[in-house]
This record gives sequence, C-alpha cells and structure tokens, in this order.
Amino acid sequence: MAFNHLVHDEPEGKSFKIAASYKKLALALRYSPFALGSSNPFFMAEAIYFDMGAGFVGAEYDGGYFLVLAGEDAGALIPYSEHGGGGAPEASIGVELGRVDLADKSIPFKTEMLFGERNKFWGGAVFVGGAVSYSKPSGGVQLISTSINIGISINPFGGFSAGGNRGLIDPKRK
Amino acid sequence: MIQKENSMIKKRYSSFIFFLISISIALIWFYLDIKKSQDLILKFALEYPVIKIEEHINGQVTSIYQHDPKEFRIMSYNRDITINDTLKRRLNVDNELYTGSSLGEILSVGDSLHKQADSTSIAVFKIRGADTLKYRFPLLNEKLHPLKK
Repeated sequence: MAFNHLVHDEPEGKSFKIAASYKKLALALRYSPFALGSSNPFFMAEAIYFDMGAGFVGAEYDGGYFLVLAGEDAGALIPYSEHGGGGAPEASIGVELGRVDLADKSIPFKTEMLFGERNKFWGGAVFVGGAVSYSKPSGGVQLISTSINIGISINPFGGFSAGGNRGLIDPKRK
Repeated sequence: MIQKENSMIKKRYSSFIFFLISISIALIWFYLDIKKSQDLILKFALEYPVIKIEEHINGQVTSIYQHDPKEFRIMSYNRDITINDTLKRRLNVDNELYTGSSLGEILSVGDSLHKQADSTSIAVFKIRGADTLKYRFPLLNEKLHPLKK
C-alpha cells in the first residue's frame, strides 16, 4: 500500500502496539454511532484530523495528524502539513478538529486521497468557527472535509469573520 | 451614554452585515467551484471511459493525460491514457499482483497493454533493452470496485 512507509516507520514492537490500539479506536469511531457517549460526530467518516496553526488575511499554515478510519490503512496516524492562500479579513490562531467524507460512499476509500490540492471556506464568531474543504482525487472522486475551529481571531469587524482559500495538504515524511 | 450605546449597536450591526456579506461571497464562490469541478469530472469521465470487462485491448500507450494538480489530486491507481493514438480509456487498477507496485510507478508512454475480452486484469509490458518486463494489474470499475465477470 502506498502509505505503508508512513505507518510502519516506527521501531517494530512500539509501532505494532500503537497501530493495534489506533486500529481499535479507528474502527470504534467509524462504526459506533455512540462511540463518544450520546453521539459520535465521526460516525462513518473516512478519516478524522486534528491540527493547529495560524492564518493571516486568508493565508494559512497548519500542522496536524490524520487518523485513518477506513480502508486498508485504518488506524494509521499520519502527520501532515497544510498551507494555502486566499482572502479573509482576519489574523487568527487556533486548533481544528474535523472529519473527511467521500461524496459517494459506495467508493472505497484510499489513504492517498487525503493529500493534494483543496479549496476551503470558513466562517466564525468570536472564538468558534466552522470550515468546509473540497477536493477531487483523480478518477471522478470527490472528498469533503468539515471541521470545527477554536481559537482567537483579530479582525476590524468585531467578532465575526469569514474567508476562503486554495491550498495543499502534504504528508509529513520522516 | 445613550449615544455611546447607539454607536456600539451600530458597530455590531455593521460587523454582522459584513460577516453575512463575506460568508455569502464565500458560499457562492464555493458553490461555483464545486459546480465547475463536477463539470470537469463529467467531461473527463465521458472522454476517458473506464475499461469494460468485455473489451479486448492490445496496443501501445501513446499518451498519458497530465492533469493539472490544481484541478485533480493525482492518484497512483488511475491514469487517463490514449492507446495507439486513437482509443481513449481510463485505467482504474489495484496494485500490481506480484510486486505490489502502483500504476503510477509503472506506467509510462511507450508501454504495451494487453487485455483479453472477459479478463478482469490488464497486462503492462515494458521494454528495457533486451528484456521485456511484464506487470499485471487487476482492473477496477468507475466506482473503484474490482471488475467482475
């Protein structure tokens, strides 16, 4: 599989234990509607992600991790970086937690679909916001990421802000 | 005091209006972008149909369409190709049966392809000097599921 080297680069014993527990977590998050108590916001997601970073008038740089929930690499924790340029009337820092979905759920998910160009827009009020990203792996597949963002935003228009950018998500290789 | 409060309310109100305008612009841009993308996906799907199980293919790869990475994320499991300068097809495949290599690692212009009618796999022949290397890839349909008889 194309991303095996990202998953198994750790010393063998350690990597096996981590991979096994992450795999259990991944399967629970994907297949249990109530995995996180009363509801599970990651139910049937292909992957989830967590990152932190900063933005300035639409330019953005983040670093974080994908936890793959579906496909051959379910349970893989893959570090990534994301950068983009666009427009927004704000400077911000924050953390983002989101899920990745295929627009057509009948298509089997492949980890390499997570990486490449994407378009994103977001809106927020005071300390909380939401974002949607859209990308197209070749071959007619469409991928949608939705997230919540928590952070600090400074802008000249009070607590409200919105923006969009084009960017790239890259796996971080060890 | 009341004047100050009024100006505060006005400021809040204008901020909120600005927010609504920005989010509307962002939403319209996003919608148009998705629509443009879907048109592009459809255009390429029609131009490069996926290989069907009943097809017999025997020929040379004369070009591989280079998608703009800003339009599509380039995946290792598929390529839009032209065979013998005439036949345009999308190759959706699983990893190579014996080496586990991906199509992206193997396929290049000049390679020969062979698929018999009713076969669920395609063979890629690469000529390296006096040697001919053979790779066999299981074919996938347009939804990336294995071709079935």
